[in-house]
Amino acid sequence: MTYLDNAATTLRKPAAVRQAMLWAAASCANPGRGGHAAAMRAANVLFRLREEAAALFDAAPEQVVLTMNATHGLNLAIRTLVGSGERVVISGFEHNAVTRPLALLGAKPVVASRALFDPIRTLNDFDDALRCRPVAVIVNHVSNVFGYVQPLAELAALCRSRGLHLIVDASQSAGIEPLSLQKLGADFIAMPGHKALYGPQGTGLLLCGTLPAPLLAGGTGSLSEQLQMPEFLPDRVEAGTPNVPGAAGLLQGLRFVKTLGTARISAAEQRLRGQLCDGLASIPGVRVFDGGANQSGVVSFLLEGGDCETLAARYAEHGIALRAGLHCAPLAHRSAGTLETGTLRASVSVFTDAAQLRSFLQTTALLARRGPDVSAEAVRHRKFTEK
Amino acid sequence: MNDFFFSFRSVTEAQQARQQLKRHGILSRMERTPRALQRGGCGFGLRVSGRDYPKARAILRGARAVYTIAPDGGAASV
Repeated sequence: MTYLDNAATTLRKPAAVRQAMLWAAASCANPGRGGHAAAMRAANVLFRLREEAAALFDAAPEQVVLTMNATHGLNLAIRTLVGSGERVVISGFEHNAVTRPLALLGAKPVVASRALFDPIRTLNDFDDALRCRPVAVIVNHVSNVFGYVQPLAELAALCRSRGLHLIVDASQSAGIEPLSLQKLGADFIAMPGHKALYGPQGTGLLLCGTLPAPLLAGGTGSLSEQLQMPEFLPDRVEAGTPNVPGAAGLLQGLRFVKTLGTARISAAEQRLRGQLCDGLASIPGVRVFDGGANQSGVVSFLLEGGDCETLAARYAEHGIALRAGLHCAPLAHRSAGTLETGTLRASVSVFTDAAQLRSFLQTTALLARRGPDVSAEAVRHRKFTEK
Repeated sequence: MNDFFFSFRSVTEAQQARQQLKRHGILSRMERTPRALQRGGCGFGLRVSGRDYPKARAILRGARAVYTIAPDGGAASV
């Protein structure tokens, strides 16, 4: 299989991730509850994960909260800063993990900018939009649909200069683009463990520059006599038994990212992105959303005359895994004018190689020539009967 | 010589304190806070030797409470 759906989850992980999960499942008990060796082992896994993440993202270990995924982290962040009816400024590329919690709260989102691959216009648009004095600003660092790398450092500086709270959705950037909780001065940065941090599904991290409000209340193994959730991190927002095997796997993922270095990872993804975009652009009938230096390894494209979901099925028949449709981000599609069609999306990882891209581009050329509605089975049958 | 026990609110706080001591060359053992010494509920703490106590005390200003632990297990607040 040629796996090009890394923006959904990285399927191939370093071997150490699985090994760590198996080890933890067999030898780690419940952390922060008992004092025996297996419980301490579990506690040590979590602490080392917090330390590793703190070093990578320029935070203190206790500011690293373990979550189930980025969506969980974003819900925590949004519920901390935003109340019903309150105004929030967001980018035009936010995922439903941001827009749905805002809708559930009855908040009033103001879309600052719909400029795609245009950081200068994005900044100017935000500069205008922030005059409405929102309670918070939420920015998707890298669009999961188009790979647009928004000018986060500059947006964060704008927020700081105006004393505005900032929530960053780093779902597509953590592990690729540099991220510093201290330098950005963000209140929260949410990220999944299972994408470019190469950890397992069911893990995520929320970096907390501000004390979050609890979403779940329950046992924390600390100050048990009090009914209120503890006032300190990370216990305040980590009720219940954590996913220790997941944390063990994520720790190995972070170590993998640290060993490679985000600069090297980002450069490699840029090269792959360039090959993808150039290759797609050379195929007649393909419309590729090419953002150049303002784009990560997430590339959306369309084939003329083809329904994107049907085409994704055709790709799958050829052993190529892509995602199609709205990618849980209808706002991004509204901003780019692709709500009616949706898009096909190819996304790379450090494990993507030139041979996989060639296979994908060859299949794209075939589908573009033949038409999207003809299944691979029909082509094989036709070729057999023609003989 | 008695050991000393620094109690903290949570396992994470105790782990951070242990790292702090380790950076200063002091070894400590993380343990559950004895029930008799718990204030407000469960917690974890660090046991350090009497020899290391003065230096540890200077480093761990954020400890919730400090106790001296006698060889027979008896504890007294410091």
